[in-house]
Amino acid sequence: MTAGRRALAFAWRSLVRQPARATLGILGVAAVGALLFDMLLLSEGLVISMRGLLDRLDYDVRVTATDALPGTGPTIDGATGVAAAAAALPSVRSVTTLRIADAAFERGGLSTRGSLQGLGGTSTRRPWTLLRGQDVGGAGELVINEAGARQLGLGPGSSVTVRASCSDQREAAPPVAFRVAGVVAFPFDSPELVTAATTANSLAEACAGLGAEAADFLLVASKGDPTATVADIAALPFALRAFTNEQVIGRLEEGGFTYFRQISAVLTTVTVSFALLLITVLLTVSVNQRLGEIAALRALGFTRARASADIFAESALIVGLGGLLSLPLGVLLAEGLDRILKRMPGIPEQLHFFVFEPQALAVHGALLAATAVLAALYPMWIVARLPIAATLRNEVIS
Amino acid sequence: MAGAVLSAAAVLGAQEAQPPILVSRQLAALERLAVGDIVELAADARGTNARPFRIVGIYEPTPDPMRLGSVPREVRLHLPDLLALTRDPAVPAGSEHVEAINVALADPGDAQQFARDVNARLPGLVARPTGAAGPDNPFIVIERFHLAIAVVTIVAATVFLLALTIMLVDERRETVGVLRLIGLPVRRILTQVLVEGVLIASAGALFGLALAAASQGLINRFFQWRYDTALIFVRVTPEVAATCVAIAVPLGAAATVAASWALLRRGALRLARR
Amino acid sequence: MAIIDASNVSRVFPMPAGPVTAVRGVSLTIAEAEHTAIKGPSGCGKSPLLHMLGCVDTPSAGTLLFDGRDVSALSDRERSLLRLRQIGFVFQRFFLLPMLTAAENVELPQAEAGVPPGERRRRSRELLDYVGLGARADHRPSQLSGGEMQRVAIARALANRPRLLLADEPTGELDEATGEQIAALLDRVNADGTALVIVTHDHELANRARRVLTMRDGRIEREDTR
Repeated sequence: MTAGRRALAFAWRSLVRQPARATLGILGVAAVGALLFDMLLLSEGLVISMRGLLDRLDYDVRVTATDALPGTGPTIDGATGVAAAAAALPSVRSVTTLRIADAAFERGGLSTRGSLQGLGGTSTRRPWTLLRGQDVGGAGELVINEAGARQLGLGPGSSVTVRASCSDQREAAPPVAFRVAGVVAFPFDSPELVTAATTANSLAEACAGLGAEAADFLLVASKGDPTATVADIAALPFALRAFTNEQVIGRLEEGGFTYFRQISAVLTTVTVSFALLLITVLLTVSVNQRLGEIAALRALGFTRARASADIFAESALIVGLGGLLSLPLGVLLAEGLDRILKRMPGIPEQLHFFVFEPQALAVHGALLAATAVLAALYPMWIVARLPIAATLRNEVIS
Repeated sequence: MAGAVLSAAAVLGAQEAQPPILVSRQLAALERLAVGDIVELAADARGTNARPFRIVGIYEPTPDPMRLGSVPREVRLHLPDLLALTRDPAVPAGSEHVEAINVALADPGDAQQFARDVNARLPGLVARPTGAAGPDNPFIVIERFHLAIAVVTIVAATVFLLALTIMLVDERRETVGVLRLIGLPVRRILTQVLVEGVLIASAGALFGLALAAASQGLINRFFQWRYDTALIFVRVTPEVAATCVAIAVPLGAAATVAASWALLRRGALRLARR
Repeated sequence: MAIIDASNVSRVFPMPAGPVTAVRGVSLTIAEAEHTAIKGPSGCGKSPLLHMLGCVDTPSAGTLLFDGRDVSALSDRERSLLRLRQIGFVFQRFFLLPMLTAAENVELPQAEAGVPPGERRRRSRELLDYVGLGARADHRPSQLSGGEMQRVAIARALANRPRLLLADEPTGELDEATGEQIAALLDRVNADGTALVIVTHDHELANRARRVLTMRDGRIEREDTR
């Protein structure tokens, strides 16, 4: 048996000797470790989740009128021409224009508010997933999400009246009747938010013809090199901004996402410090209670390194076992915390604050390992500097 | 509220003739603007219908947690000036278009009813009570999130506390054994331990509060610097302090008594024996 | 050749009230298989001398040779290995590890010395039989009496076949009858060829040795040989 394994086996016996305190120590590390794990998941969770949502749409470039994030800034005028010019670029596979208007949906005595998207451009792909019925085919048809279908009792073939509130309208647009072609899931759907989509022309009609040539942003699918597509679009004679998905994520990271990253950084620091302090105290008290035994072992021929290795092994065992236990606990806790945070208004249903990634696991392991080492330093120092003769003498006197 | 483009300052004569505006502190810092400067504002990037304005003040924007991380590059101007700036030349002057109207009610308690009435009577308008802190209000959600984290932290702290008290009580095993041997009843020893536990837990709780009070300034300053906002992130209120003490002291005392009780269940002779 | 050759060794402890000299210019040798007892009143310097003889401590002055090697010149690790392989210790308070069984306690120094598992298990059984505790090999210290614990401690001290066994008040925590049993066991260990140095204030235990050193104020006041 190697010295390391001997130290580990010895430390295991030391822990088992006092099961109550060992169990409590491990459970404490597990609770702190679970929180630490969750904070690590939180630090990148939104970014990973958002990237997943963006990538799932199969468009890798967004084009907007200004530096504002898609959907938050001024509209692109002459969107059809812009889309045609972009689609003609050699690096571009397809282009979809997207205009979003606020809308009131009415059916029978039921009414609800939400948004209506109008899609145009050269692409036949749709930024949603069809759940029931058919996709938008012709004029006067729309697809609606589950929230809308549920709230208004709609299904494929139903009729719904839409009153659109288009951004540059001074007066309410006249109600327009639409036929529900199908029920779909939008990637950025919120559980209660009603979203519907139709063609750009149908939305323009719903907006009484105003802003017919406008789009909030363009969705562009490149032929595999989104960076080249961004450069190509930037070279077009339009005052436009194009972003790859990564650039959009980067913009989001500079914005509201950072709050959770900062919170996670603060809580990570606090939890690691907390674990460090408490394991150090646990080990120090434990060592102080066993000074006589340790001095006797040193007298019997245990080297300083060997006696210190026992303490390190004890720290490693407490932190290691607690760390392992913290993973399933962390997963459960993350689910609960994710549910809490997703109650915030406007958070898409498929967006998650806590997302697992192997790197978080690696950092979790590294932080706990560092905690085990640092927590063991002081008690190891006590053991290494223990005066054998004086300790044996004191033990007899006491 | 409207998007606008601010062009480089141009000093013009007859400054008093320019309509006044206020500029957010962040925008002023970013564009190196000062009170008295003349700037041109336009409603679009092309500079359509640009008009000169005079900066009469720099203001701190009302912190908005929903816009945390985005630098508020804003100006405030009188509504007629904004309408003139954003009006489509085809639309005759005098017609007003605003995105929102803030209403102060005589009785804020009527907010829900007022919103329902407006929504029912004015199709196309949406009225929302701003003061209502519903279960999905971001503040409430964040508060719930922090509470959940606090609960986990308390659980972890309790577990560690119990482990520590068990060890500390175990250190006094012989003393407790001798006290039992000379005839002190378990209840008497437990009372003493309880008093000690309460004193230690109170001292710990006060120290923790002092630490929190000292660190809140640092945390606030860091986040305010990080996000360039006047938002307050941490505030140790009397209620928070009272909650901390109300949790920490009984918890500390209970952990001490629980650990001692486990020890006192053993026989006095066994405790006193080395 | 002497196992230990101490020449004019002293041990001074720095104390807040000023240095305290526990051992003053002691010279002695311990030969192979010799049986020596060091006796004297409390505080006379018996234990500090024993700790130096056992290479647990080093002299403040003078020279102490173990097997011809200057102990003061050895590193901490070298002294540890010397203790592990050449010296056995028996303490007044036994210092058995409570989480290990009697057999495991005896195996511990062997494992540290790199003895293969099978061999050390065999040796532990043999030693526990030797001290009369073969039937209690799997008992933990808490299940043993004081005398039994000290016997396990003696077996542990003999685990790596030391040339020198040092015992510090080995009967100090035991009743008279049990102390007698331990004394007899130690006699047997010495008779089987291990040099034995016992520190005690018990005259009867000391008088079982062939050489009795009486200490006072850190000095060897008297040496009696039988």
